[in-house]
Amino acid sequence: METIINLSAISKKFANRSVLKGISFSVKRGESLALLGPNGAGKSTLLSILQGLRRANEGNADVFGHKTGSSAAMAKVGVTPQDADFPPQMTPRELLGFAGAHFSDPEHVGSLVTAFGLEKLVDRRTGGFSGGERRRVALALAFAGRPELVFLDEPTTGLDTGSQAMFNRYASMFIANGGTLILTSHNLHEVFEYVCDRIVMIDDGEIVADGPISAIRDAVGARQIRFRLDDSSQCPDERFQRDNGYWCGVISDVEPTLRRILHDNQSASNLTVENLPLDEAIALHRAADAH
Amino acid sequence: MKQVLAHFVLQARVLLRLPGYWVPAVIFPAMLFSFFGVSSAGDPQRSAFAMASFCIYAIAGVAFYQFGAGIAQERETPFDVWSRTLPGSRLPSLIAKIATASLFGLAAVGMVIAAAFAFSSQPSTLPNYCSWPACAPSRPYQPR
Repeated sequence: METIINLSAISKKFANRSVLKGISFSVKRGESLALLGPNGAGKSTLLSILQGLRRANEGNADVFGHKTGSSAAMAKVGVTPQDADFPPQMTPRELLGFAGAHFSDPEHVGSLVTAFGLEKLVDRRTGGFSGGERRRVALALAFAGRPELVFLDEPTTGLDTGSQAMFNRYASMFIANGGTLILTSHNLHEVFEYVCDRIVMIDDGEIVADGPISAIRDAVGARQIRFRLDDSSQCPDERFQRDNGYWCGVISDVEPTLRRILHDNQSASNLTVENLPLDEAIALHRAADAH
Repeated sequence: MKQVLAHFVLQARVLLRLPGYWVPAVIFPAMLFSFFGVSSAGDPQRSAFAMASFCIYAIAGVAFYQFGAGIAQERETPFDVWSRTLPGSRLPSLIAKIATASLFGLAAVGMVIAAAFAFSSQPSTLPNYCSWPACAPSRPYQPR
């Protein structure tokens, strides 16, 4: 399949701080990729280089075979801003019309309004919108020019579950029609809910993992399980340790482990399953790599 | 051309829906002229000079906001950053900015001329006002 993004040894410094340290990867048409990393990892800087908003200090980046940010490249690209902050005097219909005017074959405003659930908001000024409503307008703007490639910076920040599902549906349809999607997130487990098929994990300006979502999920998608047992009971699984009266463990195969615990220990109570924070997941992944 | 029109419509809409902008930019020059400039209506040269001065003040006010504070503020907004990712150069935005500034500048000047006409006690004063730009280079204003 055709490669549409090519990044080669991209480095970026702000003052004396290296934000990106030799990032290289490529993206093929039809891929949906999540750039994942904790706050300050460099994913938004990388995205802004791909969008032509910043220049790399070193390395090469091209989109659709053109220099990043050039008109030829951006004519096929849709972008959602990280901060969904629009002129408060404008309505979503006017903003979508404005964005569409920059493309040769814009999407029909009505279909975007329906797809992102903006029917009641479309002729209201954005000044009175909630964070989630603004985010929905921002997402719709990215698709206003019928792009072939879409960059979404933390697309579901502030969205309720219904709106997230709406976004996932539209993104799935976009990918099924041959579109390419690149999004950023700092939430590991949220990314598993997205439509992505590949994750590039960035930490401290470097790629720490790059692979299919299933492989990353197995490698770093572990969850923390905590439960209580009667004092006399002995935990059957050596991966759990005692902590303040609870048994705690970081487990990758959550479902079979839970089944076994509940089957073997009738007295198990206060059971909780929590997502592992991203920094711990990255540390776990690095430790696994070191072994 | 489509992009210039899109930027012009967006900028004009934003400014028209912002009374904090157009009241001081469009109405204040005419209002101040009616307070301080109309008193010179009896003397054609003085009245023409007063009107021209307020017209320049009107244009300078619009230009200062649009090209000074306006551009500086816009460059910091997430919307402006996002609009830089749209295809095309910055030229359509600049042309649209000049066009909107011209529109609001003309409106402000029009208001000053309308005030000059409306508040003048002598019907013949409007031609006097309007004759000032033509005769100004050869007849510099001499305060009495």
